[in-house]
Amino acid sequence: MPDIRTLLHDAAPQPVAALDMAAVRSRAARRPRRRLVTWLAGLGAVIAAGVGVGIPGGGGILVNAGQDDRPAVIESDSSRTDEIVDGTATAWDPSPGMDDEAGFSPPVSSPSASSPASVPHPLAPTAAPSAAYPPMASCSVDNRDLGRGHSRSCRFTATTAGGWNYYQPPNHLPSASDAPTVSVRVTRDGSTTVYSTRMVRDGGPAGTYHLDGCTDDVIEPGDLVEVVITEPYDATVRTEMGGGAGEHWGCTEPGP
Amino acid sequence: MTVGVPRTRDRASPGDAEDASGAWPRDLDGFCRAQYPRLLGMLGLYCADRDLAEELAQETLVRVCSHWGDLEASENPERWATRVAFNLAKSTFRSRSARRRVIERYGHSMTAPRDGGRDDESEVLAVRTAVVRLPERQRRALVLRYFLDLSVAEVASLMRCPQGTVKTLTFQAIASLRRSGLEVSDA
Repeated sequence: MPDIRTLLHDAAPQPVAALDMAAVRSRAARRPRRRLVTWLAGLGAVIAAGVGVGIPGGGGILVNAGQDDRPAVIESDSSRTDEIVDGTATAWDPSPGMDDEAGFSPPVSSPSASSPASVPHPLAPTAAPSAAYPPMASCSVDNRDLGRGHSRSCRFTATTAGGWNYYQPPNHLPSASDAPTVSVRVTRDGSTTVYSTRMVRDGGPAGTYHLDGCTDDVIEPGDLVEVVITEPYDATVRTEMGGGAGEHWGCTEPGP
Repeated sequence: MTVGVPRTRDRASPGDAEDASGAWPRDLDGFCRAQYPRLLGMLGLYCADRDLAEELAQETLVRVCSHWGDLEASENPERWATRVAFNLAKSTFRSRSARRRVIERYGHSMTAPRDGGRDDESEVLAVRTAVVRLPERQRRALVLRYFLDLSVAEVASLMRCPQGTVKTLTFQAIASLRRSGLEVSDA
């Protein structure tokens, strides 16, 4: 009678051809690079250090792009949310239960490093977990069928630790410079930190862009988390993407 | 039946890319070539879809390439690769319908002729069928513990659960395999 190890090894598929490392390297080269944004995040941390830390009374917003959890740049208010998803959405498979949410101010401008240090956050929750933030391990949203200038979000009260990341469907087209923005708002003890994707321009005269943004281990149990994806008003090229936060999300824990 | 997948670091197959000292090679190409059969086997058992397993294994290695600067200096890059591979697979299976489709077709994809060389395809298929029907956590614990030959502590670390949970999951998994008709001796 075989033991379980032998049984599994005999049943496991084996390579029928050698690994094509050239193809692997080529695909890796086409992946979004994050090192530059990490460096920018560090630079932003220096700029924002004097204003982003120790905000009296809490409630301020620190914005981060990149892999560390240091505040990077301050984002202007862009909190319009047209759709609230129940938080169980899966990749490219929007869940039912979306509904309109009125009363939010329209986006003011795109994120800017020269924005004021701190702005009130109309969505920043200050109360205990509620129906608006149901306890969950994670949630994700995508921009399928999302109109220009509109947003979609999901909210949850974190039950486990985690991070955030964005994702794009298999075989997606290269991201355009007007790709949607994924923002993750993490509220803890009345203070909200916002993590957001950025379009980073590649070097060279071609002027192509790539997406950047993810952070490991920034969510703790009890945090109020909102994931928002926003389609730019002036999007000319449709870029399919989504974002998620919570358990199994982060830079080393890819999304779908 | 043949056994062609490296089971552990010190029990590699001929042709594996390990160096003479038995340690995993630290150059990127060598690391990827050594990891590929390991990841393919692991994902093949986990997903029950050879094509998907190949895609996920290669995507894992793409991410290894992207992060090699950090991984090269880390103590355990294969652990990182294992975790990424499982997360990719889990993400793929988040949609129940996708998983159902895979289960419906697993027999075809997993017994494709290019898998060749098997002397008992029906037994292979029976094992794959039984494994893929295990609950996800049991399946993951089983593959990590007995295909990758990781210790209980290592599996617990990867699955972020107590060691006792790993023992329970693997015990239940083997019990399920036996109930499905497989003859399995005690590990």
